[in-house]
Amino acid sequence: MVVDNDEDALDLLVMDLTLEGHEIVGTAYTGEEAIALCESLRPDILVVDYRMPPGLNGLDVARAVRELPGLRVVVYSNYHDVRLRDQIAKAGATYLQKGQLSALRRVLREEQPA
Amino acid sequence: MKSTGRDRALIATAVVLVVATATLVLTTVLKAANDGTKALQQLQLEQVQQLTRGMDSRIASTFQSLAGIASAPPAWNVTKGDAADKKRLEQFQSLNPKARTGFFLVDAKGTITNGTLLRDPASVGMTYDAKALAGVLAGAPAILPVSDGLTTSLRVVTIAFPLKDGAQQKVIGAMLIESDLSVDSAFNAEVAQLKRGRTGEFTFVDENGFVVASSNAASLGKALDEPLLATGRTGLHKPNGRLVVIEPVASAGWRTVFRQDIDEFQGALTDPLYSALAYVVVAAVLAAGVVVLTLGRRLRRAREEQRRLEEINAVREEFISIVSHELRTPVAGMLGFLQTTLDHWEVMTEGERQRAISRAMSSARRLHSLTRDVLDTSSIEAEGMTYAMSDVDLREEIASAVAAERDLRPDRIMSLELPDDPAWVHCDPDRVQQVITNLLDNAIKSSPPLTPIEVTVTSSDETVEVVVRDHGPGLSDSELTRVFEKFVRGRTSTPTGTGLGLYICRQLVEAQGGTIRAERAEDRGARFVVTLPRVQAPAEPVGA
Repeated sequence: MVVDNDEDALDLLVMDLTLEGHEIVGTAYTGEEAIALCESLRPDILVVDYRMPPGLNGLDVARAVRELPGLRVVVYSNYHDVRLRDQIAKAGATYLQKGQLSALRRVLREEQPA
Repeated sequence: MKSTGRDRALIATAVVLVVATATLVLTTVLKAANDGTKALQQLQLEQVQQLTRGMDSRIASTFQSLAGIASAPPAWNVTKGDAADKKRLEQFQSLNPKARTGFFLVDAKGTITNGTLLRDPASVGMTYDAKALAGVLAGAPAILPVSDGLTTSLRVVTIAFPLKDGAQQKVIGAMLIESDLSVDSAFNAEVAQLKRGRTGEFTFVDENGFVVASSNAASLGKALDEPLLATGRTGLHKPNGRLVVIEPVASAGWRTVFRQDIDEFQGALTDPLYSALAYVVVAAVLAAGVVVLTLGRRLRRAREEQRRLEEINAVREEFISIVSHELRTPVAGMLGFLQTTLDHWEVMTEGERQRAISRAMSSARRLHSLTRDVLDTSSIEAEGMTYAMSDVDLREEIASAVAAERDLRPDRIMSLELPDDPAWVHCDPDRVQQVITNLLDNAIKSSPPLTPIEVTVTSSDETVEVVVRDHGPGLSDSELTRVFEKFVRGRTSTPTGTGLGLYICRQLVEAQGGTIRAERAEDRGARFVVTLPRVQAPAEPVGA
């Protein structure tokens, strides 16, 4: 599942990940939507943007869905921030910098359940 | 913070200075008043003393001259009804035809033997108050205490001096001269002139405290109501808010009494001082007030300035974060779509390729408009914006801006309403198109996808008006006033853009002599109204 408040960015991820062979079970524009969809759609992987004003951010979402079994979370952000990376790691999620498509593809290949 | 601290210290210093000055002035004035009062009292004491001394010597010389007259030969007989004595007394009396009081003689036993102007002829043969005469009959002249007159109906003081026998050895009697205590007596008239102010009075009292002469006519001949007299004290006293000076007139056994209310006594000196003091205090309070107000205002301005700077700073920081986000997003989009397309070229359908490249294109366009906004803003702020002004039919410019925007956003409904007649304005056509494009972009961002955007051009004699109206949520009160400010963004819940578009619009419109305003549309949505001054159609119609 892919979540981003920017339509272009969301579109890009959906297109690229589909072409990479992933099945996109759902998309959302806000953190609140993302949490609700995760609970109903139970995706294997959640890719979520960090900055989605004015609502919940990617870290909030990662924390909220942490207890869902078998769900891996990737939070990506425009910001290089060591503290943010640590917080994301603490929430059990993977941090990625925005704009690095190949890095995302690699992480998703590794994350993909066998 | 440093400057407000300094201002606060300045206020405190100013207040301390003003208070210190006021205190200094206060103590100086009070001291001056005190010193002045003391000096004034000393002067008063000296005046009374001098008056008393003068009176004393006058009485002494009166005694002397009367004694000379009285002792001139022939010797007095001092026997009851003696004709020679009577004749001589009448001679004395005739010296002052206007006199209202007379003379009389007493023998060594105090029996009255002769007199002039006696009210009761039967007085001759009666005994005069022997006690009062004891000293005189012993040989010393005296002024007797105030008593009822024998030669007048008024109260009198009586000068008494001894008469001696032919050998000038033995006191054989005394001559008594009465002087009435009336307001118009020469002596009293003299004393009356000494009246001072409303409450100040000079009084001479005899040994019993009866008034011999006074600047207060009502007290003549009566006992003076002055408790201090009974104590026998002399000098300057200040009982119960009064100033009392008492000095003895030794030769007559009298006392000089000066009395005045202290307030009045000092008033002439202290009143102006206290008024001056009041002025100083008022001035000090005013000065302190002005200082505190001025500095307070400065302090408040400094705080406001600081708050404003902090606000600007916060806005600037947000702008940097916005711009970096706004830059990264289209760059990431552009790169991403291109990379996806390259990486998956073989497996992508024709439609997918087209979609990916057109998304890359839209990201590039976003980047372009962002760059333009930022560059325009810096141009505007450096006042380096140039305008290629010419007379144009605004209908054509608006139509072409709307058409371009329709091409870019075929998904949005944009209606355009133009007047039938040309709407000539003097402007830079590219800049006007930029304004309309910005307003359309803003309307697209601010309203839901399926709602229409309406552009209307109307013209009057004076102006041409372009209205861009959307059906979004409209503007709040604060947005109405701030929407054209720099970095103020978004009417949507997820603000996008730099917050520069409308700012640039206003700058461009105003630079071309027009105005722009934002309004709430009827029903729902916002209206942005651009007004430009209308000009005459050019002589040679353009493009004809």
